Parts: sequence; structure tokens; C-alpha cells
Amino acid sequence: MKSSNPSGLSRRTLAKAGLFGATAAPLLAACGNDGGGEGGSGELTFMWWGSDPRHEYTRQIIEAFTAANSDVSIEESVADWSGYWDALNVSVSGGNAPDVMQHEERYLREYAERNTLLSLDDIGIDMSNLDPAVLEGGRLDGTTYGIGTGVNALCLLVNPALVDAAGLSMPDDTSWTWEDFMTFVSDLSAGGDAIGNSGLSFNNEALFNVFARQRGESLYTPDGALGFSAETMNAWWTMVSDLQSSGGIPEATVIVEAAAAGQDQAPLATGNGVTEFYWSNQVAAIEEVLGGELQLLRVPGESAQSGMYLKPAMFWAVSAETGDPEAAGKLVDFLLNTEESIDLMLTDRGLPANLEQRERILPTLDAGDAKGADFIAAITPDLAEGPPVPPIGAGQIADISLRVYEPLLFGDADPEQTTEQFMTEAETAIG
Amino acid sequence: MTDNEVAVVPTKAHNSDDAKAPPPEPPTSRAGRGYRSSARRRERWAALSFLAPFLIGLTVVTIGPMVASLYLSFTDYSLIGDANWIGLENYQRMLEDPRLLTSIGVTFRYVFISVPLQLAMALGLAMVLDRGVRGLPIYRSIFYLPSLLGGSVAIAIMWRQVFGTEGLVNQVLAIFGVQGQGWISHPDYALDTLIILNVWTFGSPMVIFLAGLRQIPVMYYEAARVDGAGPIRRFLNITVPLLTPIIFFNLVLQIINAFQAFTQAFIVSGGKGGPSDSTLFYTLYLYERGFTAFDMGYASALAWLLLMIIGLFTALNFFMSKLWVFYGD
Repeated sequence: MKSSNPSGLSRRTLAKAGLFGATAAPLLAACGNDGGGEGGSGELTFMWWGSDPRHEYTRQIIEAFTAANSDVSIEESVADWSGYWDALNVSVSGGNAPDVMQHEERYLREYAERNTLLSLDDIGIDMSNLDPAVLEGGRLDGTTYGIGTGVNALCLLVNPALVDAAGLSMPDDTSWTWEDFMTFVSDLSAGGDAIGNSGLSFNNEALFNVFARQRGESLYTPDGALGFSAETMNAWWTMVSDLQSSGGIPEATVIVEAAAAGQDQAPLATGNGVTEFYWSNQVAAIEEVLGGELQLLRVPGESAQSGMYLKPAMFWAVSAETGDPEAAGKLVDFLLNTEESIDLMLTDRGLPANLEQRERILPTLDAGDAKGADFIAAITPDLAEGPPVPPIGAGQIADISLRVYEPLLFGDADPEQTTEQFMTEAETAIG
Repeated sequence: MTDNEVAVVPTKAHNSDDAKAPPPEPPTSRAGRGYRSSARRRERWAALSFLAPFLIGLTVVTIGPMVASLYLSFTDYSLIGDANWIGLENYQRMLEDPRLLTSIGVTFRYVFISVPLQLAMALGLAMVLDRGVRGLPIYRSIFYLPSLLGGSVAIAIMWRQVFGTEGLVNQVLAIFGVQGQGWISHPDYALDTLIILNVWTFGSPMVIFLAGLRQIPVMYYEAARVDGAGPIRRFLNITVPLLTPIIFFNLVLQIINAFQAFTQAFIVSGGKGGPSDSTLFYTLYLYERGFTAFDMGYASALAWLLLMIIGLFTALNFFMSKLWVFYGD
């Protein structure tokens, strides 16, 4: 007799379906681990992160390089910042590490200490013209694993037109304190339509590092532990919650949304915010989106003890598994030291590390780039020594910081709890 | 059928021992036997070669990586370094991991709210469509579409817009004078928007329900109507019992799917599970540990815990099914 089970499915079929569905889960974390170098002589892969303009001029640099070195061919691999590290981690683990790659200070130690990076000291890179301070930033125990592409400084970008509209005048950034800053942005919000500060940077650990250094502390100690006290961080988060209640920064959901939207959609770039902290090499790009002028101010609180520092914007690094160290060295040398390269790169990867090239391009920069360069030149005499290379695990600090910042914004945690949560998680991460 | 059985049974002894050649048969009796035996062997090779793509895929893409991840779950593998055996340490760490608890909580809420809603929606629409709407194939396709798109990056990005501060939802609310907020960016509502997204992809269970409804003989309903049963009675006493195997099938599949939801949460929360970890799905946490925190050993252990959780719920489902699923046979 025919079964009246309308599906025509038996228990066994169903059991199989369930089983196959369930077995798919561990695939998520499964990952091969084969070694083996990549490519033969003269074939390089080159990986970097960035936005379209950077991809375009970097391709032109590659063309110039291969024109001068016809025995080398280069395959590019690009990503934006958020996807870059996942992709790089996976390719390194799969034995397909790019030969030459753009690196960042928070990940440099992690990669170097796991023996995935090549020492850059003797693969023919000319370091004679490079800024010694920049070189130091890529050295671990005397070995150079990364060479800074250029330098950056944190600054407060201010939209002067909106300051005028709110009926205020520019503060004196050489003497202003964090209290002055709080009053300034709260008054901006009260006096105009745009928000005083968009609140996107208080979870930026580099900015907190400046704050801590102004108090004689630091984010990390040279031996890789947390270098600040709970009081300092409490003061930091208390300032944030005060700013929120005074209206200096927007409500929580607006901040979360703006953070997700990216630099081009952020309030400063759209003209809905008057101030925000950015790195000095970002000013030209934001001005372009805004279609107006921005002014660079020093981070508040610099007058007594300076906390600001020049950060290597990013590093060039070479994979330990590269099939052709010499060609990789040539490419890095070309990127750092030649006119063809610097003329295209200008200050997009920071003010060039090559001091000769830096001098040479300064007069040729357009208004936006020149502002960043002038700013760095103006603050350099007042700066304290740069912070040490961050410890292993520093790449997770930004996520942790965001994770504790959000409950504070939504009122689910007070400043003390926020500090405690941050310190607990950060200590685990940098172990 | 009977023909085959007669021929097959005697050859079994030879087939079980492949190394030996079949002994020569007396040519007079059972003339076809040797021929049939080699034909069977040929068929087996044919079967194997047809199955080969699947078997190779299963081994290389599924079983191999699974074994690898089981091994890695007992190591401190960091993704870019060597894997050192650390025994059960990863599993012990889970006991003291508050974010793991958060992620399990988020995932359970997602699974146990969105799946029942999704199935109810699917069944409801399947019943409407089953009444013989004109242009059924068109409606069916339209309703099925979200199932195809729901897991895609594009839809997740669209969702972020729709539920944003300036999004469609708030524009509609504004018509009624309600001042909306950023739903995706608020920890109290972000997960709800993802639940809505999952419910919206009701198309695939709907199509299966529709097929099931079509199989229920019309005469049952006619007989019930003659006996004076109303629509609710007919639904509860005919449709639901005869549809229980389908409901069960959809339930098992959708629960498994929902446990593994990843893309939507990844895109909507910018890969972070935020705000305030409110959309930290289990898979998202696993991904974060493995690929951004250099903690692949732990991530592998997490994957196996997820396998066990899904296995447990599937087993529980099958066990419970004895109580309510009616197979009619």
C-alpha cells in the first residue's frame, strides 16, 4: 500500500540530511598548513591595503619598477584595511605569503617573532638617507623587519567655516587643555547645526596613548605590558561621558553608525561634524570629499608634557619565504628611495622616510598635502621620543577598545567598569 | 526484482573476496553466471567512477579539513606559526570565556526566535498559495527570491541602510509621526533586525511546504467537510498531522542553518559582532578568534563545540520527533 507520508521522506533520509548539515560546521575553522616557498626567481607578489587612488598610483610605481628591472615581474594583491589582515594571515598560513607587503606597527612584532618576516638589513636596501627615527620604529632587537614608509602625526582636524558659523574662534592649540577642548566642542554643538566632535576617536588607542604620555605614562611599556594606570584611563572615559552629557559628541547610535560608514561618510567629511581626530596624511583625502578647507590642530593638553609623536604610517616588509630576496630588496629600495616612486606616492603613505626625497617634494605638494607636512614640521621640535614597537597581540587592542567604548556610550557601563573591562581584556590579548 | 535476486545470491561469495579470480564454471550449467559476475564488477567500477567526484570532494574538502581541525583544536596553532600540542587546554579555556557565553546566548536567541517565526510564515504563505492562486509560479518565484538572496553580502548591506537612522524603516515611521532611531546600531535592537532578515528568507521552507500540501489527498478534506469540519478543524486534524514530516524536515534544516549564520552578522556589524557584542554570533566569534586574533587552535576547538551543539540539537530533534511526527506508515 502506498504510504500517506506526503513528503515521501523516510526517517533515514532525514537523519542523513541532519548529519550532513551538522558536519559542515568544523569546516569553518579548518585550514591547511603547508609550507613551501612561492614563485621562482624574479617573480614577486606585492600586497598592500588602501583605497582606489592609492591602488592606482602604486600600479604606476610598479610599472616604473618593472620598466627599470625587466628581469622582475610583479603580481599585485590589494585589499582594503578591514579585510587586509584576515587575507594576509590566511596567505601566510597557507605558505603563499606575498613577497613584499605593507605592514603596520601593531602587527609587526607578531609577524617578526613568528619568523615570517625577512631581515631587511642585507638585501641591498639603501638606508643611508632614511630618517633614523623611522628606521628605529621597525627594528626589533637590532634587526630591521620593517621600514617605515613615512611618518604621520595625530591631529585634530577642524572645519573653520563651521567654527565661524557657530560664532566661535579657533583655539590656541599650543596651550589648550583637554578641558578647553571639551568646552570648545560643546559650544560648537550648542552654537551651530553641526556636532562639535563626532566621537569616533575616543576608542582609538593611539589617541589614548597621547593622553597617557602627557601624564608621564604610556599605552605599552618597552617590555610589552600595559603602561598606564587605571586612574588615567578612568579620567579618559569620564571625559567621554561628560562630553556625551554636554552634547559635545552625538548620541550613541549615531556614533556607531558613523564608525561603520567609513571615513568618506563620517560627519567631518560630510560637513555634519566640526572636529575629529585623524592622522595627518588623511587631511587631503577628507578635504576632497568635504569640498572645503580643514585646519590641523595639535591634540589638546600638549603644553606641559608632550604626548604626541611621529608614527611610522606603515611599513614595507618582506616575507621570510620569498623566493627571491634580492628582487624583493630591489623593490623596497625602489619604493623608498627613487624619485619615480616618491613623485607618485607623495605623502599618501606619510611624509616620506627618505629625508632627501622629503626635502625635494615639500615645495611641490598641493595645499592639502602641504598642510600635513607643515604641521609635522611645526610640531617636530616639541615632540617627545616615540613609543616602543607594540607587543604581540596589539592588533586586537582596537577591537577591544571599541567593544568597551560602545557599552559606555549606551550607558550600559560607567567609566570605572569600562576601564576595568579594557584592562582585563587587553592584558589577556597581549599576555 | 526476483530475476535479479536469483542471479545475485550465488555470486556473493566471490564478490566478497576480490583477490581470488572466480573459479571456472561448468559451461553447461548456469551459463550466464560468469558473464553476470563480470558485468557486476564492471557496474561497480562504473558506480565508483560516477561517485568519484563526490567521494574525492568529500575526502579533500570535508573529511580532511575536519580531521585537521580536530587535531588543531588540541594545539596552540596561531595561523602563522607552528602548532604545538597543548592537550585539552583550549577546551578548558572555554569554561572561563565570557565572550563565548555571550556568543552562545546571541546565537540561541537568534535560532529559537527566528526559526519558528520563519516556519510559521512559510507555512502560512504556502497555504495561501496552495489555494490555487492564478499565476502561482510567479508568486512562488517572488517569495522564493529572498531565500536565494538572504545570505548575500548585498542584502546585508541593504539591511544596514534600511534599518539605519536615515533608513527606509524610519522614513515609514516618520509618516506616522514616530521618531525612529538607528536600529542596527543599537545593542537592544541590532539582533532583532537580523532575526527579521532570517524570517524574510522563508522561501525555501515555503516551497517545501507547498510541495507537501500538494501531496495531501483532496478527498480527506472533502470527507471532513461532509462531516461538517470547519477550516480550523481541517487544518488541525488533516493538514498538520499529514504535514508533520515536512515540518520536521524544515525544522531540522533551518535550525542547522541558523546555527551557522555568518554572512549577515559579519556584514551588518562590520565584522565585529557589535554594537556591544549584541550580534556576536558563534560563527563570528569563531572567525574572529581564528583569523584576526591568531588563535586558530582555540577557534578549531570552538568549531568542534559548535558541531557538538548542532549535533545535540539535531539528535534531540529526532528524539522528540517520535512524539509528534506522523509518518502514516
